[in-house]
Amino acid sequence: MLSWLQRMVRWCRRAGPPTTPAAQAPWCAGVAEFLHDSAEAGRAIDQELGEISAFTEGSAVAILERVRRLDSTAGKLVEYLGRTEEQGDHMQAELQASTEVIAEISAFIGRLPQQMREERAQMQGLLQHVLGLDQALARVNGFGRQIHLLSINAAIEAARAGERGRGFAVIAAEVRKLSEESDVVVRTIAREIAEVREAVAKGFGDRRDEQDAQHVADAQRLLQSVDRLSHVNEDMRQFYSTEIRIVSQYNQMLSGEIVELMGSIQYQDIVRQKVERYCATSAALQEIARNAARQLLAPEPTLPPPGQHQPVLAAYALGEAQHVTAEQAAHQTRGAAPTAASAAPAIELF
Amino acid sequence: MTRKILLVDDSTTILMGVGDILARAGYAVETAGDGVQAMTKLRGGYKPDLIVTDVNMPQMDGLTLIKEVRKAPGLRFTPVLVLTTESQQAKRDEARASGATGWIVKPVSAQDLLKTVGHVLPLAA
Repeated sequence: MLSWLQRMVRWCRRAGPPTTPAAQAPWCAGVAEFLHDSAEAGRAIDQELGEISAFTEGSAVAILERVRRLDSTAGKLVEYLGRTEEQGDHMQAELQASTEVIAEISAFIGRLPQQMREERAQMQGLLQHVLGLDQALARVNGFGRQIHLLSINAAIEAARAGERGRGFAVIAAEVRKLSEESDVVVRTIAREIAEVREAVAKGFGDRRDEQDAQHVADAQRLLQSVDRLSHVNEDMRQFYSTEIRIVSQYNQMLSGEIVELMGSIQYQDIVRQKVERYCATSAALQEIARNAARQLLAPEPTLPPPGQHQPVLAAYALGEAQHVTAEQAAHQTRGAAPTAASAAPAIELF
Repeated sequence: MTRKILLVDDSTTILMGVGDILARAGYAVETAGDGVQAMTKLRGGYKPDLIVTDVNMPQMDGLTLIKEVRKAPGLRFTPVLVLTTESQQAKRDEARASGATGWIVKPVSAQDLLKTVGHVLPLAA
């Protein structure tokens, strides 16, 4: 708009005002209308700029709100990772405790074959004692048969003795009864000794050896599987622990970038202020154009004096010089060091 | 003890963006849209450990705010950092003469802002 105004003023000066009164009024009216229209066009553009500035503020606020949500999500991720790592450590501690118990069981199972051999040796010794009893029982059985024979012979002799042998016959009968009862007891003991022998043979025989060896082998295979599982779990824990550390590191980097993004939004304030300074300057130039139009429409029209725009432009230039330039702002927003064009350090403590 | 910062600026994005940076670092942040709002809060009993203020604001600009703070009982030695787009030495000198503690030119990185605030706040203990 300024260049149009300058061109119009220069044209008017070169052309000069109309020399005849008849031509003067329409000429001034035409130029005044042009100046007025230019001022209105400038005002419309400034209004658009104001709306754009407000739009950038709205966008920046929306970006900041999204950044806040992103930061909150990143924070929750860090918490989640922390809890996951804690749980992993807790599970590892439980697994370690279980592994120690399993190690004790393993040691016990390792001792089992020897223990079982010792028990079997004891049972074999017991069996030998039982066999010794069997022999003693056979002798007792022999004694019983002899006593039975003696009682029969005694009964025969008592019968031969007649009346004088009656008492002896009673004694012989009692002895025979004792002999029969003894025989029953001997058979019972013999049967129980046979049962013990059978039980020992069944419990500690060769077939039992095979079964015990199979059970011990199964238990050892189970222990080996548990041991492998423990190693696998340790590998998994180390893997996830490493992954969690790496993810946490990236999350911290993300967190740092989020914070810097919050700072980068300052560009919007810089743009807003630049637009405000421009719009203020533009409004002043528009007023110059309107004043020039009013002068031309006066009963005695005159051209506006030259150079009215210069102080306005000088004030604008001074205002811009006092603030961060677009180049400096872009440089600092990208995180680079201040340029050599900076008049003073960006940060100073007094 | 949580350190309190009063952030004064007429820009919504600055109050949100810079406010979030400071809050995330663990400071308790209060905001005001210009010098008048800031003085209303301060006279109402709010006592920050640090004030961070813009310069160009409606109703009361930042340098006037600093002068008012330096006259207020209980606030005379409260550190004040200026956070502004102005970069020229003359304005900087004017701020120093008014009683400002430091000067920061926008845009400032979050890292530099927090480092500068960290330098200043121990002085206010």
